[in-house]
Amino acid sequence: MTGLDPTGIGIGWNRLLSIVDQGTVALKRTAFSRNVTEADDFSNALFDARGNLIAQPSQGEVAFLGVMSTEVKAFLERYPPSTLRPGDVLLSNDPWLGASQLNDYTMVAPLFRRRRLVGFAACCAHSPDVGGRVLSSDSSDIHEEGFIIPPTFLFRGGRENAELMRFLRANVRVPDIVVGDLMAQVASNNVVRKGVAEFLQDTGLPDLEEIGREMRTRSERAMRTILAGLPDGTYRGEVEADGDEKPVTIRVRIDVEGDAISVDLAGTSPQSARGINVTFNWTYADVVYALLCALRPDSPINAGSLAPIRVSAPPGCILNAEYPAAVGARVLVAHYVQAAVFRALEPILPDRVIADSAAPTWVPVLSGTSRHGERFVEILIVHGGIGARPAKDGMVVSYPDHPPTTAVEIFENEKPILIEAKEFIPDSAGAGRYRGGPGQVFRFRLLGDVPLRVAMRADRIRHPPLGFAGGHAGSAGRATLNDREPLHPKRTVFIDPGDVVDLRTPGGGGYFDPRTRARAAVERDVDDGIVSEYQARAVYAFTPEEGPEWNRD
Amino acid sequence: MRPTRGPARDLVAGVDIGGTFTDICLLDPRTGRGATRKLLTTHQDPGEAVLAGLAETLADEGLAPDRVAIVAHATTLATNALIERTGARTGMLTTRGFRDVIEVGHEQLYDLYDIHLDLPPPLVPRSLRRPVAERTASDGERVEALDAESADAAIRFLVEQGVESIAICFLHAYANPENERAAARRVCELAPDLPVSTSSEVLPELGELPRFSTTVANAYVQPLVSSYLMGLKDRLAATGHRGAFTVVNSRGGLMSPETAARFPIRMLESGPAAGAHAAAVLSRRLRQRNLVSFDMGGTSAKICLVRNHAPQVTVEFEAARIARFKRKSGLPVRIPVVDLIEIGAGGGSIARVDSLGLPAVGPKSAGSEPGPACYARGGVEPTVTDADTVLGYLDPDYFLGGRLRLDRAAAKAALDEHVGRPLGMAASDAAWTVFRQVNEQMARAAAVHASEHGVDLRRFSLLAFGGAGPIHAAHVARALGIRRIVVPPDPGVLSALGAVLAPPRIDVAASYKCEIERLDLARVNGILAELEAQGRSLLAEVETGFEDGFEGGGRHENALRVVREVDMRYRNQRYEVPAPLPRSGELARDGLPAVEAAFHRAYEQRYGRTIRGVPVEAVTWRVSVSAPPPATLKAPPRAAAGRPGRRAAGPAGRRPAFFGEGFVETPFYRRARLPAGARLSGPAIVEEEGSTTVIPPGARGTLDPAGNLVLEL
Repeated sequence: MTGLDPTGIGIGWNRLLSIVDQGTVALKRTAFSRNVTEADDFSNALFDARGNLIAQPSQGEVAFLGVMSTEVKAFLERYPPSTLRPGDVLLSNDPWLGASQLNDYTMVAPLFRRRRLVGFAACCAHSPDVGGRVLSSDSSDIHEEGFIIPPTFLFRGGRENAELMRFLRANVRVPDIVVGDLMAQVASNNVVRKGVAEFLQDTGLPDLEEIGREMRTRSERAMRTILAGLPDGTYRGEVEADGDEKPVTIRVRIDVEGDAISVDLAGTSPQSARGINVTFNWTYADVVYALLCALRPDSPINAGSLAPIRVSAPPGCILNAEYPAAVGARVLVAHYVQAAVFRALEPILPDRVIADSAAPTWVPVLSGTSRHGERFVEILIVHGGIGARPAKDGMVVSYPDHPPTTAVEIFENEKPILIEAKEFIPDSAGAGRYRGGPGQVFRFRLLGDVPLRVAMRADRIRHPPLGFAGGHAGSAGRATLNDREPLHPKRTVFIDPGDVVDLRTPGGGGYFDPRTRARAAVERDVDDGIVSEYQARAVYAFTPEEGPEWNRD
Repeated sequence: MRPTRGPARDLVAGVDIGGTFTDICLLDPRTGRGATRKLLTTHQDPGEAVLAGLAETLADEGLAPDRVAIVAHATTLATNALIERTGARTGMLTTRGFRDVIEVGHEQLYDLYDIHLDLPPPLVPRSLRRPVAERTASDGERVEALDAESADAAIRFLVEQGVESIAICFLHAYANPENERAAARRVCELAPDLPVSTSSEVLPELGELPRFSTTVANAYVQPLVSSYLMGLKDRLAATGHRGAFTVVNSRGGLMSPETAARFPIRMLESGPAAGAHAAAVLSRRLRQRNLVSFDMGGTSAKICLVRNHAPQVTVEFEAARIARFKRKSGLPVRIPVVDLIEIGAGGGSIARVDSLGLPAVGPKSAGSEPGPACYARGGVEPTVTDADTVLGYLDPDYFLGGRLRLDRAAAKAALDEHVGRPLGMAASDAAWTVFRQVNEQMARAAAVHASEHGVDLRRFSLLAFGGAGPIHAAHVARALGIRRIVVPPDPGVLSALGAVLAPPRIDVAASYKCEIERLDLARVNGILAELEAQGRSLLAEVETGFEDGFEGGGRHENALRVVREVDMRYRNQRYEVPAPLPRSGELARDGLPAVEAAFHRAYEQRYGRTIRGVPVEAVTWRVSVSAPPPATLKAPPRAAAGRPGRRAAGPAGRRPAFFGEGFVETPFYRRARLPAGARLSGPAIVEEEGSTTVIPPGARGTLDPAGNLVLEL
C-alpha cells in the first residue's frame, strides 16, 4: 500500500494510540505491587524499528515516557536488529540507560511481521525492590542501592531466562511481587504486539514506517509552529532545593531560536555524595515534560514533538550525575527542574506557567511486617499543593509526577498502622489573588510490636514553594517524630510501636498580590478553614466593612 | 385468581425520560400488543410529559388508565442533579482528621499535560464537612466511640447553616457501623426532619473515597428525587392509575419508589441501563448469546457488552464528569451499574481539521441548538448528521418523519468550508472522511472496552439503536470484525421497552477482606444471610400491580432468584474479579476450592492467564435477589412485523448515496411497509420515523418475523 491519505493517517494514528492504551490497561490490571496498581508508577509506549517513539498512552508516568524515548535506542546499540528474533524480551534497570533509578525496570520487546523487525513495544515500571537498601538518599554509591541488570534477555525466542529469574528472586525481599510485576510488563508488551500485528494485517501496511513517519512529521510540525510563535531570545530561571547536607542550585538557560528550543543546565550544582543525584535521561524527561505542559501542543506526543527540543547538562552536575553516583532519591532534585523551567518561561508565557508547587512529591518508603506477618516495602505518597495558576487557585494533585494518593482504609487493612489524620493544613496555601493548593498533614501511629523502618524522602523543608508576580510563598514542609524531634527528610530511621510520625507537606505558591483577591473568595476560604481570620486580615487585607460577622466587631 | 370486579389490570407501561425526549412504551404482555410514543421532555416539571405521554398513548389505544398494572420509570433526574448541581444543600459528618477525602479525590490530573484543568468541585463545601470525634479500626474495633458532644455540636452547626440533607461518612464503617448509627440517631434526635445517608447503609464497602463520595452524592440528590417520585406516584393515582409504580435502577432492575427515595444513587444511568436490559432480552429472542449494544444519539454513543444474555456490569462508575469523556474527571460513585462506555460521537458531533492537518470529529457537539448545519437553525459547523445528509443516507424530507426538513446545501457548504477545502477534497469526499473517522472512533473505543474485559468481539453481533446508530452500525461492525447487525423495531424508544421488560431486582454487598484459607466461615455465612434477607425485604417492597402477582410465575418465594458472588483477587492486587458462589446454603470449608477455581477461571477469562503460588483473597460479598419480570416479550411490541410475504414491498423511491466511490442510485424503503421476511441487498436505505438504517453495498438485510432488521455483512 502506498500513499496514506489524511483519513487513513488519522484512523491509523488513533488505532495505534488505542493499542498502546490497551497495553497500559493490561499492565495495570495484572500487576501486583501497589506502585503499579495504585500509584500508576509505570508507562508503556510503541516505537518504530529504529527506536523512534511513535505512540504513547493517554495515562502513565510521564517521566518514563521521556526516558524511554531515548532508552530504546540505547538497547538497540547493544542488541542491533540482526541479533533479535521473535519472542525476545530485553530487560534492564541501568540508571544510566533508563529511568535513573534501579527500581525502574524497562522491558523492550521487538515486534516482527513476516520475520522482519517492524518496531518495539516497551514499558517501564517501578518495582518495589531491587535488593540493596530500600529506596532512600542514604547511599553513597549506586552499588549500595541494589543490583544493576544491563540489557539482558528475560525471554529469548519465547523461552524464559530461568537463570536471570532465579538471580532476581534470590536478591529481592518480595520475590512474588517483583516477578509478578515483571510478568505484567511482559503481558503489556504482548497486548501491544498482538494489536500491531492485527493493525498491519487489517491495513495491509508492510510495517510501521510510513504511518510512523506521518505521525512524527505532523507532530513535529505542530511543535515547531508553537515554538516559532515564541519571541527569540535567552531566558533564565533558577531554583534552590534543600539538597542533602547543603542546598542544591538548579540553573536553567533556555534559548528560543526560530522554531527550535534548547535548554541548558550549566551552573547547576555538582553531583552529591548522597543518593539525590539524577542521571541525564531523567533530567531530559523532566525538562521535556515541563516544556510540553507550558507549550501544550494539541498533537499526540511522539519523537516528532521532541525533535525541536535540545537538552544539555554538564557531565558531573547533579542533573547529569556520573557513575557510580547514588540515585535512590533522585526525585528530590529532579522535581525542581519543572519549577526552574517555568521561572525561565514566565516572561514569555505568563498565562501558561504556574507558581512553584509542593514538588518533589513526598515519597517515604516504609518497610516492616504486615498484619499477616509478612514483610512489606511500600511507598507512602503524600501530596502537597500545586502552585496557583494565572487565573485559578492551585489544587492538591501530584505534579510533576502522577501517582494518586495512598488510600487510608486500604493501607490500614494491611499495615499495622493507624492513620490519625490526612487533611488540609490551614494557612499553608501560598497567598495570592489566586492562592496555591494547601499542604496536607499525614499523621500515623505504629501499632503492633515490630519496629518500622522509615526511609524519609522529602524536601522543601527549608525552601517553600515561591509565589509568582507578587504572590506569596506556600508553607514549607515539616516532618516530626512524636511531635518533638524533627525527622531528617533524607535519612532512614526505625520507629517503635506507639511512635507517631507527623508529615506536613508544603503548600503551593500564590499568583499575584493577595490583596487583589476577590473578597468572596477570601471569605469562602475563611469559612472553609483554609485561611485563618488572622491571615485574612494580615495578608489578604480583608477589612471589617466588607467582612463577615467575625470581622465586624 | 382474578377478582371479578372492575377491569383487569393487564398492561405494563415503560417511561424513559432523557435529555431531549420522554419515551413511552405500553405493552400487553398477554398478547404482545404494544404502542410507543416520543414527547419532548418537560424540563421544568418532568412529570408533566410522563403523565401526558401515558394519557395520550392510552387514549390512542382506547384504553383506560386503570388497565395499567405497572408503570416502570427510568429517568436522568439524579444524574442531571449531579451534573447541574441542583441537589440539596448537604452537610457531612466525618471522622476527625479526614475532612477532605471527597475534595482531594484521587489527587491526580486527569490530563497529564493540562495544569490548567478544573477538578470536580465537591458536592459538600469544606465549611459543611464537619469532623467529629470517633474512630473505628480496620478490623471493626471501635477505637473511640462516637463523642456525642462533638456530634451534637456539628449537627447543630449544620442545621444553623440550613442544610437539607446529611451524609455520615466514618472510616471503616463498612466493618462496624455502630458509630455511624449512633451519629444518625443524634441527627434524628436533633433534626428529625433531615434525611440522613450513612456510608454503612449506602455502600458498606472498603475504600474511603468511593464510599464517602457515593454516600455524599446519595444525600445530595435525595430530597429532590424522593419528592419527585412520591409526587409522581400521587399524580399517577390522581389521574386514574390504580396499578403499581416502580423505578428502574442502574443495574436495569426494578426497585420500589421507596427504595429509590432512600438510595437515589442507585437510579443513576437508569435509562441506559433499561436500554441495555432490552438488548439482553432481545439477545435471548435472537438466540445471540453475545451482543454489542450500540446506541448512538445526538451527542454521544454508548456501547455496552451483553454476554450470555446479560449486560456487563461494573461497580466502578463516575458521575458528572467535568471533561465528559475523560476518566477520573468525575465524582467516583460505586454502585452496581451497567458497564457502558460513552464516546463523544453523536449526530451533533462537530467535524474539523485539526492542527495536524487531519480530520477529527467531536467531542464538541452542536447539540440541538443551534444543531447541525442542515437543521438550518444557525449552525455553521459541520456535524456527523451533516455528513450523513450529504452522503444521501438521511432523507431531507423524512427526518423525524418529515417534522424537520434538512437543508442539504447548508450541510454541504459547512463540510466544504471546514473539512473539504482544508484537505483539498470535494464535499462528498469530506463527508465520507467524517463518516469514516467517527465510525473508527467508536470502533476503537469499543475495542479498548472489549480488551478491558478480555473479549473477542468478532464472535459478537451488534445491536444498533438510537437515532443515528443504525446509520453507522455497518461500518462500526466492519471495523470490529463483526458480521451481523440487528436493528430492532422502534430503535428510538428501546430504553422505554427495557423498562417494561425489567425484572424486580436488588443488589446488595458488604466487604470482608480475608485470604480464602483464613476465612471465618461463620462470619461469611452471617454476611450472606444478612445480605439475602436485606435483598428479599427490599424486593418485597416492589409492587407489580397484577392482582395475581407476577405474570408468568407468581410472586411466591420459590420464584425468587438469588445469585451470590464474591469479588476476589490474588493477594496484593488492587482490582478484584467477581467469582460465583453456590446459589444457596451455607458456605463450608470443603466448598472453598470450587470457589477458588471459579475465581481462577474468571481471572483467566479476563486476563488470559492465572497466577500460581499466590494466595487468593476475598474482598466484597455480593447478593442479588430478583423476581421474574412482570412482562415478557412474547411478540414484537408493535404490529411492526407487518404482513408476512416472501418479497419486499417496492422501494418508496431512489436517491443517490455515497459509499466511497461516487454516488450510486440507492433504493430507500419505509420500514413499516416492509413485509416480514423481506430481503434487501445493499446498497439500500430503510427509513422509519425515529431512525434510518443504511445497508451498504455487499451487505444483505432481512426483516425477521419479529420485526428485527437483520444485516449480514
